[in-house]
Amino acid sequence: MHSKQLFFTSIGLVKPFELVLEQTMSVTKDDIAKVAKLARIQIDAEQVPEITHGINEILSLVDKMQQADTTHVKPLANPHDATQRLRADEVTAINERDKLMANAPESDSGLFLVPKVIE
Amino acid sequence: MQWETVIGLEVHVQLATQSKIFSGSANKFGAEPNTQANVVDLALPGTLPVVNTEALTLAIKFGLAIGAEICTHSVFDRKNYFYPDSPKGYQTTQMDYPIVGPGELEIELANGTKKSIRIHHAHLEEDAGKSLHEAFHGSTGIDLNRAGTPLIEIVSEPDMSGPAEAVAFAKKLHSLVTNIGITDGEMSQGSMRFDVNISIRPVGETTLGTRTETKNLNSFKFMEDAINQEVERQIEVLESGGTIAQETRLYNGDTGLSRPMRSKEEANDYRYFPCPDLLPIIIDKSTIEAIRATLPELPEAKKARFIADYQLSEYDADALSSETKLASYFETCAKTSDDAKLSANWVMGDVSGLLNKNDMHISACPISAENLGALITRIKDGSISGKIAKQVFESMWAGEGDADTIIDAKGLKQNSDEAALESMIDEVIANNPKQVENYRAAEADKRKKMTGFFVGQIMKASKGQANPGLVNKLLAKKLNG
Repeated sequence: MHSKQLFFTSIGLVKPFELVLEQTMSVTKDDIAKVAKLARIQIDAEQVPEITHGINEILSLVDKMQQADTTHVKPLANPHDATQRLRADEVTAINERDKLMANAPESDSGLFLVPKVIE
Repeated sequence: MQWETVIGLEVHVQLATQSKIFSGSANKFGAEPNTQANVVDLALPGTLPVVNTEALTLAIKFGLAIGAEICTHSVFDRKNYFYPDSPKGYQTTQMDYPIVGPGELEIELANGTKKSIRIHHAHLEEDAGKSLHEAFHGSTGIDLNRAGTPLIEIVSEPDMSGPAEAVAFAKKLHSLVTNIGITDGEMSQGSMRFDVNISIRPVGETTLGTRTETKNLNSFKFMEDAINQEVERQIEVLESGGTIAQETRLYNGDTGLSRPMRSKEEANDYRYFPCPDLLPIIIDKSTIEAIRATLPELPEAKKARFIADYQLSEYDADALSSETKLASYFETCAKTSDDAKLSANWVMGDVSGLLNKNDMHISACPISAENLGALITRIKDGSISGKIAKQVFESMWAGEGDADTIIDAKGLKQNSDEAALESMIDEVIANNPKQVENYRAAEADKRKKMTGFFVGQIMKASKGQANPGLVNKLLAKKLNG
């Protein structure tokens, strides 16, 4: 559940063009707790030091990458050398509500039911 | 202290595509819940988004209409937050490379001067589903039909200095996006929604005050009301020595009250990052030029043309050019009747009046523009008087047929038969000797006013069908003769 890979994505630090230059990055235990909460990942208190250490190791790798001179390099949003294929504006989906709703733990009158989200 | 208000708007516009932005589900308002939500919209594992060309085209169309630069390289990002009506756990939107760059829109102020409002950018994104909190005991119902509806979010600079300017900008924007046909603009159905950023500062101060954001206003009236309230609230807080908290507020249209969102509802840490499921969108210049060629005449240009070609007043031209369907209704009517001024009067008067009264849009008008034009032609050629025309108009509205059918069926044709009118006049003169005597004894300048009595009697005798011009002429001859 808490592999480095998963954290790497969920904390959103992979945005390559907004990193602060010339500054060593690290996170504190509080950062980890906050990020875990935002990502809805439950971690036990005793795991926090280990995870903090793990993330900081990844960040030190990022620090190393920051030292590369990218002055003349355009920001890269996606590593693939390809552009998005588009589709025509056509309705291709059919109504499969009954089938899809069968997967839901609870439903009523064609609506998915979830625990009440406001008081 | 004198305060000045600074307002910026974020406007969400639902795009009028057939299908959703990332899936082939239908994009249509009012369907049974969850019947327009497929595996992509439900974010089932393993599904991937594919971008709808038309959503891009409509966004580009908007950019071209505000003179903005279109970004030939644009990127989708993920805005991460958890809420049940957003099943993916993020909204696919654009952050650093939006499709539409800076542009501007000119508004007209109450004193007639013009002001340019800068638009920071506009980006493409998907709408969320709907949460229904009321009907289900202890649960929230989720309808994902709206999830994945293509939106553009238009972000203005903080260039508006009060509710009047903000509403003028919002209306101008509404007119523009409906004119270029990128949205149906139905505000009551959420097709256009406004977030208003408001701050105040002492007059003369150049740095901006702390702003609040009032979200999801879906009428111009709510917007005006919410701004007035918020400005008043901020002045009160600052003048009593407090500070403004940067917060998101909700305005309730039913109660007319606003309150801050609870911090739990507010998750400002969205951890944006480029969406790994979508590659960068590359748009070449020739595509942009091809889209430019499809742009219809913009409202400003249409207004200028109405003034130049039809000699309409500024006011009439403004009202008739603000909406495409109304404008084309007017033009068709003016062409059919060959009388722009009368057409403008009828469209803005009787037609708009009845539409408003019945809460109807011009597209649902029971009288076609051609039929209204034909009615106006009958006034012009003297077949019916203006007064009878109103009666014919009402019958046309009620679905009794076109103007000529109704005029024939009800025998409403104006009576221009001199001999018949003369005998009616003779009868009225014979029956009212006292009034005739008074008339003849009166000074010449008073006589004109006294004619009204006789005209009235003759119109009554003719059931309103006597040709008024002819009656006046014949009557003057007889009374003075």
